[in-house]
Amino acid sequence: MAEDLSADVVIVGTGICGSFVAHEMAKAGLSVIMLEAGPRIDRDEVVENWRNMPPHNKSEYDYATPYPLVPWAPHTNYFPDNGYLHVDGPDRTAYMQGIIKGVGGTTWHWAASSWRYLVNDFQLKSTYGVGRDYAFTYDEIEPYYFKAEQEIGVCGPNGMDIVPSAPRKQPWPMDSMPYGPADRRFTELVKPLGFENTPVPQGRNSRPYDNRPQCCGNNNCMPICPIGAMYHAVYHAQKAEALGARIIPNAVAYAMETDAQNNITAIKYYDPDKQSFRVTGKTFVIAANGIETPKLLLLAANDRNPRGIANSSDQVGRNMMDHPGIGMSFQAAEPMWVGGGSVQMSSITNHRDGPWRSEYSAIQIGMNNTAQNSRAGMKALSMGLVGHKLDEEIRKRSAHGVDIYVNHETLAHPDNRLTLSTQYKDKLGIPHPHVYYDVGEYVRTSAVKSRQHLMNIAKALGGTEISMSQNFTPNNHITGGTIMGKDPRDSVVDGWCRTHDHRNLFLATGGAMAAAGTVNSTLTMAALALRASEEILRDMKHA
Amino acid sequence: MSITPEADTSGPLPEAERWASSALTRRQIMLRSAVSAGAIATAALLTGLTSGTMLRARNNAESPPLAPDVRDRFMRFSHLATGHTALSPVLGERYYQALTGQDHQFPAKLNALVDLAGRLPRPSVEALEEIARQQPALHGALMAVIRAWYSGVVAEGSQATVYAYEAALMYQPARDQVVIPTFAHDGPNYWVKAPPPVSAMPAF
Ligand SMILES: Cc1cc2nc3c(=O)[nH]c(=O)nc-3n(C[C@H](O)[C@H](O)[C@H](O)COP(=O)(O)OP(=O)(O)OC[C@H]3O[C@@H](n4cnc5c(N)ncnc54)[C@H](O)[C@@H]3O)c2cc1C
Ligand code: SF4
Repeated sequence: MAEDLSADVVIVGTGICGSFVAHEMAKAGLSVIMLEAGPRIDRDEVVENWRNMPPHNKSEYDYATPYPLVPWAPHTNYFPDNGYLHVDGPDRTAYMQGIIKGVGGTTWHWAASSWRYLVNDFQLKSTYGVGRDYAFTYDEIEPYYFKAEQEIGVCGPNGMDIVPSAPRKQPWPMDSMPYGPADRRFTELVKPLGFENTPVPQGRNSRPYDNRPQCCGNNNCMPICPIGAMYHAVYHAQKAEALGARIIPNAVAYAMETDAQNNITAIKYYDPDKQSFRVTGKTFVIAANGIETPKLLLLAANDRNPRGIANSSDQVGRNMMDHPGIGMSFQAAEPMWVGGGSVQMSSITNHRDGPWRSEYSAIQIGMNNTAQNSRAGMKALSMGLVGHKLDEEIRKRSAHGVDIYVNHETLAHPDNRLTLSTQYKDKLGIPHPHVYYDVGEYVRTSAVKSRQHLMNIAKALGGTEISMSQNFTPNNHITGGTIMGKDPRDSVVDGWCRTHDHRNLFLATGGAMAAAGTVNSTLTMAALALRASEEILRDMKHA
Repeated sequence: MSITPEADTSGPLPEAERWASSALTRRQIMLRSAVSAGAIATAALLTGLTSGTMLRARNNAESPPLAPDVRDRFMRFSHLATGHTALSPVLGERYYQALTGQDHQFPAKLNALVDLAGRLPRPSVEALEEIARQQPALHGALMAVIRAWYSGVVAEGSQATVYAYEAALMYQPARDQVVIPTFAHDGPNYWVKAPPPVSAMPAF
């Protein structure tokens, strides 16, 4: 195999961050190699797998099982827990994250809620004296947000005045989709409690966009949109390929070589048979998501970088964040008919910012719009009903069932740390990731109030059979593990996602995010990837 | 098109210490064994048609076809047990075989249930369920038949073989308003119109 694997830009990971960078590089005429640990994923096959998945899994919202799982690139699956991601600490359940390994990455089964962070989210420390600041302000990321929204195709509440919200220079590329019955009624019912329920900006088509069809409300966005009305990163992986970028699937990056200036000279990967290959390049980008990016940097430790690549600060793998959630479900007094439209149409956003953030977390509250029929059917069957009573119970539960959540912002804390497991290895001999997680007092103080908010909402909807999660739940918004900052002594990357330690190594990932904010974080990751792309292109011009 | 996962690719690979992939991988392979109706399914999604009953093509080779009278008896009983007559005989055959595979006494229990139902003055599942309560074994078999038709599976939990999804009866009582996920309900924005009353049970 004397093939010369070399490119101007070598990218690890074909998720949204890696694919965005690849697309920008390929558009600029640079040669690109993308290494992807997992296989190519076929939409129709995933749809079939989902349909053939047991109703138990459907009713418990299992999003991982339909995706091919290969032993050389294991990802998480909790039906049952396959033991890939090990978590301990007081809030271990809150970090059992979902990730997908395969061309296109985890946005295959995201919900495409595509928010901008607020001005204050970027300057939490300067504004409220807690957490950390980003290495730039909102104004500096605003143009990249807009570009990311155009690339993804985000529909949003143009023309509505929502407070607080992120200032925009341009409207969303598409207008919001209309609410279904549940979102309409929920908005009315929570208003008297002081909750403003507003449309979620969504990465799905409210009209045909970018050669993809309009959403027709199949309500299966998680785990797979059957018609591609929802954006998945595979589209940018394919666009990059069409422009000449080369994707090598089933290629698991595991090591990096560095020179005397501590520049990266090569990345090594294993194929499924554990044959090793070496890829050289001018610039390297790790875009392997918030779990695998810090894992790879630690794994790739070498003589010059004994604590791990990019880890002179000892911050690689620390500050792991997400939005710990509390879930509540109940039967509403009146029929809500959840399930019209996409799975995430609206949320309560007027608790995203406020002076209390100096003491406890800001929150996002929302109603899941996932159709209740699987859950209703399984519950009614478990009640032992037969005949008309059974049918009536299923219909009633499909109409009245409601799920509400509260998500909390977390603060970066160095003790919340990802390390390489000393106990567990995959088939290639690569250690599994291990995470210690404690949401901290900032969240716990807020959660007391959140539970009260939830009960007030249940009351306003006349809820019965109310059940609330006792533990915090994970939200898959994996941030912080390769944190950004201006000071190389306490951060891993700068404001352009360039590592402080290696001039030609960029980390395009949520790991770079310095504060978690309250909302789904992928649009911010995508904007960071576009910012990093611009810096890489600047480098190349000056080289 | 896609990589088939092989759980036990030993070759030069070191043994995983605790990679509990064997069960999962079995399931993945099972999932894969289902008919890949890609093109048909996509067309169906776009037009809102359903692509017919999705069946798991498992066990077919091993189980000989049912004698017509056995199948007809099971179907007639299923009509009574579910209160619905638009049930697929192909699916019925699969359920019968799966229920028998799970409990070798099932055929005998079914016969006993048919007898019991025959003795009811006005046969209905409600009446049958009530008298069957005195004989837990028969009651269990009755509920197993109902669970199969409603949920599309015979076993419980996340390893169950799925025989039907959109044909599973539990998706029918709300189907006039609630989409059977992945199967288009209607055109874009169908959800804008006012929902029907909960009391208006659709016919199925
Ligand atoms: C169920 C679910 C719902 C979600 N919903 C939302 C939502 O509504 N809104 C939102 O903003 N976010 C959502 N998210 C989060 C979102 O999916 C992630 O933030 C996003 O996918 C991260 O993009 P990424 O490019 O960083 O990583 P990924 O998409 O995970 O891509 C990383 C890629 O890198 C590859 N890789 C990893 N390690 C290696 C290696 N060593 N060598 C080679 N390749 C490697 C992986 O195989 C993977 O394909 C959701 C997540 C889940 C699980
Ligand atoms: S609602 Fe359906 S069509 Fe729309 S994005 Fe979700 S899965 Fe796709």
